[in-house]
Amino acid sequence: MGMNERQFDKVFRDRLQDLPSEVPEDMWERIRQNKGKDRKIAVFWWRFLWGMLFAGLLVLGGGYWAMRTGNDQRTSYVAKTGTRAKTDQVGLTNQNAGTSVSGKQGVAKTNIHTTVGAQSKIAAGTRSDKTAPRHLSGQDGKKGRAGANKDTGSKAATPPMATKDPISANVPVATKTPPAAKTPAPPKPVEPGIAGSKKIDPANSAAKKANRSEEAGDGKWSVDLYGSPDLPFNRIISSDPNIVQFQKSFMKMRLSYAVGFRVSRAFGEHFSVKTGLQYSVINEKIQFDSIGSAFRRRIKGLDIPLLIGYETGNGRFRIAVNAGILFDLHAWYTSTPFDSLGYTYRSNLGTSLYLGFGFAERLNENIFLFAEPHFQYRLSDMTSKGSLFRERIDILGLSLGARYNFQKNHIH
Amino acid sequence: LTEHELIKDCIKKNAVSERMLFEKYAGKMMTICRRYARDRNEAEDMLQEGFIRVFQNIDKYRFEGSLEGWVKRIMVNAALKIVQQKKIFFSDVGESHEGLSSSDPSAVSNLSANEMLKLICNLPEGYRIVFNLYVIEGYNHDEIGELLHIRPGTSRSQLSKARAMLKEQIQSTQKLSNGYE
Repeated sequence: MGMNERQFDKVFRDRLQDLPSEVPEDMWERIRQNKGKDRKIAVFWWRFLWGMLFAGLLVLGGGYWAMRTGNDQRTSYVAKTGTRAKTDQVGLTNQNAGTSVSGKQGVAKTNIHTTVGAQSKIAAGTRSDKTAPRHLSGQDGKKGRAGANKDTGSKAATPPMATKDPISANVPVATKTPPAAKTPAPPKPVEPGIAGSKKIDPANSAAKKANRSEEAGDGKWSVDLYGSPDLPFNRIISSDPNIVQFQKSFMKMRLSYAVGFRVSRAFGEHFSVKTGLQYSVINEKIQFDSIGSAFRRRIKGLDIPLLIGYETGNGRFRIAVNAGILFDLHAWYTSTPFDSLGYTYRSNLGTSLYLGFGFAERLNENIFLFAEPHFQYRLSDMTSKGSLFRERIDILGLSLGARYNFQKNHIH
Repeated sequence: LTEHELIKDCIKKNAVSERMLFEKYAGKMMTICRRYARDRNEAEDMLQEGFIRVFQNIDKYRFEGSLEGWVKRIMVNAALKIVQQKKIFFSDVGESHEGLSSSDPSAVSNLSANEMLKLICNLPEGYRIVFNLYVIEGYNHDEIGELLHIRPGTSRSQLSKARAMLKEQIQSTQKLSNGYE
């Protein structure tokens, strides 16, 4: 009597399933040594990734520091030059008003003095109208200085710096006016034209513009930190529809995620360019019923986004559209309990198109919280050439994160 | 030391326990590797790679099912990965309905395990892999298709050819041995 296939298979299975074979004596030593090697490679990669992250943070930190330093210098410069201009005008005004205050007195190092200068200018300018008779009386050259001293009330304000020039000491005298004395640095922009000069208008309007821009929450640079729960959708592409159906019957896409950061540089009021680094994990389940086992495959990738953003809104609430390309740096696969049969997949997944709609709300002066529903459409095949089918995984996700705006210092 | 304790120690990277685990399963796993490998050197590479993965992933073992089954699956997978690094040609032949009714049951039953192993090793690569996965490991054709990225029909035909070739080899062996007698 013949033997059917099942019996034939059973004989082989029973005989071979638990058959031991001779193992080379040095096998353990080889495993022990190579185990260490693999660990070293893994450690190298982890260190490389952490190094990249650290370098990224260092660059960001350095950029922030450089920006702050640059702004401080600029603020200082603007303060100096602005004050110089103003005090020159004060001098002019005062001279017009019959006082002999020189521009030097107004060279202040802080905004306080700038304001004081402005106030003195106001005082000089406005009061010159109100107290015209007194100033006019000073103009005759007889009571001018004495009148000015008396008028400015030397009791009220002692100058912060000792000056040899008694006339210089009279400069803060102009701050006798209570608002100047009590509020050293009110953060309000200098109104052009108060001093009666149009020379400083462009500077003031630039400062105003800068203020407007900052009020809208837009420093030139910002950084986004985000995490995103993702829903992956795989596309199996094959000329044979049966293969597509067959593959899909095994593969079940699972909730996945991505984390990353993006550095953004604004151009103009609305546009920006963004780049950064994104680490994503796509979870996939592959069910094998006959042996009652399932793979949980993870496709991990490091991507560099290159996006162009359009943003609008007010200082509190912003909406944005971000679109661009994600370039894959490297991808790798793991699965539990098996390791991946990585030969099917490429180690570089190519490019994806990205489209996101963001909503951001200001938390404080520098920080926004944002949510960005997005869609990633993969342009390249993830499977290697010669595979039975081509697979591409698209992603629908929701990035949630915080944006830190490296705002310019306010210029007043 | 119970198996549970052994695993716990291996998770802690205890070298003594790792060696114990290796010695416990190395022999059986070597047979698995030999079934998939072209020669002994390749089988040793597979065993080495497989155990490295076992120790790297032992913390993922969930104490569900036997440890031996878990190690075996990793070993099969490691073997497949090495086999797949070189191109395998699964010649897609038509469905074979060739039965084994003509084969003598005693001829198959009289084969020793090592003889069976040799017969399997002599099969062309595609036949050998599919035969191992289906007959010994217990995967079905759809799953083999998924694992190897081939059509289930290709898997079926490879298996059928493998059986037919094994039958021929057994018959040849039998004739030879009968001739000697």
